[in-house]
Amino acid sequence: MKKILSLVVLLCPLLSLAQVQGIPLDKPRLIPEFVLSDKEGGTFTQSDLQDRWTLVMFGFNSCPDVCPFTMRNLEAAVAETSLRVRPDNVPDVVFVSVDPARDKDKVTDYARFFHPDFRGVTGEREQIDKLVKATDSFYRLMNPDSKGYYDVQHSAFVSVIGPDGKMRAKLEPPFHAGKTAEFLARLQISYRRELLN
Amino acid sequence: MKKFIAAAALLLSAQWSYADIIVDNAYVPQVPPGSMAYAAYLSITNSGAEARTVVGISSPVFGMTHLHHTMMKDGVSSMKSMDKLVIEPGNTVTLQPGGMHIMLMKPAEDVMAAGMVPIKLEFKDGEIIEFNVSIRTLN
Repeated sequence: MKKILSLVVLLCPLLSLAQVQGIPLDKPRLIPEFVLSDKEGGTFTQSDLQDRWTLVMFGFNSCPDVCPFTMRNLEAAVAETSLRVRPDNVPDVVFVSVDPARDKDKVTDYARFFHPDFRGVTGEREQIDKLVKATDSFYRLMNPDSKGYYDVQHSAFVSVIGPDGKMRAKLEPPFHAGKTAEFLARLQISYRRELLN
Repeated sequence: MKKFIAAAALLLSAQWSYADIIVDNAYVPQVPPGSMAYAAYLSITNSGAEARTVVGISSPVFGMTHLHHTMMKDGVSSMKSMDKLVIEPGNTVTLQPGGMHIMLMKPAEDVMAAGMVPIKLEFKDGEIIEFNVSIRTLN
């Protein structure tokens, strides 16, 4: 037993060095119907997930660190991915604000700040929750402080949804551009293989 | 040419040296529209013989300043407030994306136009250091 433990202890730093950028799901998760929208009234629904790859991130606009960090890295990762996959397989990026009260009017411009093609959407709590649950994500609005500011805890991973509308993987921080692109390209190949069998 | 590169390097990574404290690699990323919260990143080196503790951080152009640590637990990110930052002798503490940051809230209206954010660090022993951190645009 001790030997196994010491082996595990030895292996742990090696594993963390490998820096996993993504985890394919054993069982892809079908995304149910939902309706979110951008500030111009354009909708983001289940049908927008069909026939294309989509990366979905949950967050909030007043997130000082993790959200801008992730969005900046996703921009770089998508640019890298576009060098590796067919143009129609370059993923769409959608930022979903779980804080509609503060972000409803700004979330669309927020996402476009990072790339003009990125979409920023939010919506009714119930609709947000459907997508959160479907992607095995989590968020919690914290209690406001004396000045009314509240923090939002949220999942840090990015959901990868395939052209069949099923979530197929999670991208994890630190979202290294080249490695994330490599992961996405491989995921797309195994998806196409699966379709052939 | 060399001089030019050196000058450019200086501009890109401003460094401030004090008696036994060096502040380096400081920047504030430009915030996206709709965000109420700015973040400042920097590294602080203690070249002295005794531990130094930052007990206060403020900026005259922001109404609220917090030292935060981004925590990841079970894949969920949240922020933890820290009331002090200890820098052991000979050590460098780095505030960087995904780790620690100075959260700046309630900006004065012309913060972006100024392109600079004055930051004030107050140490436990009473020393106060002030410096201007550049706002870094996305591209």
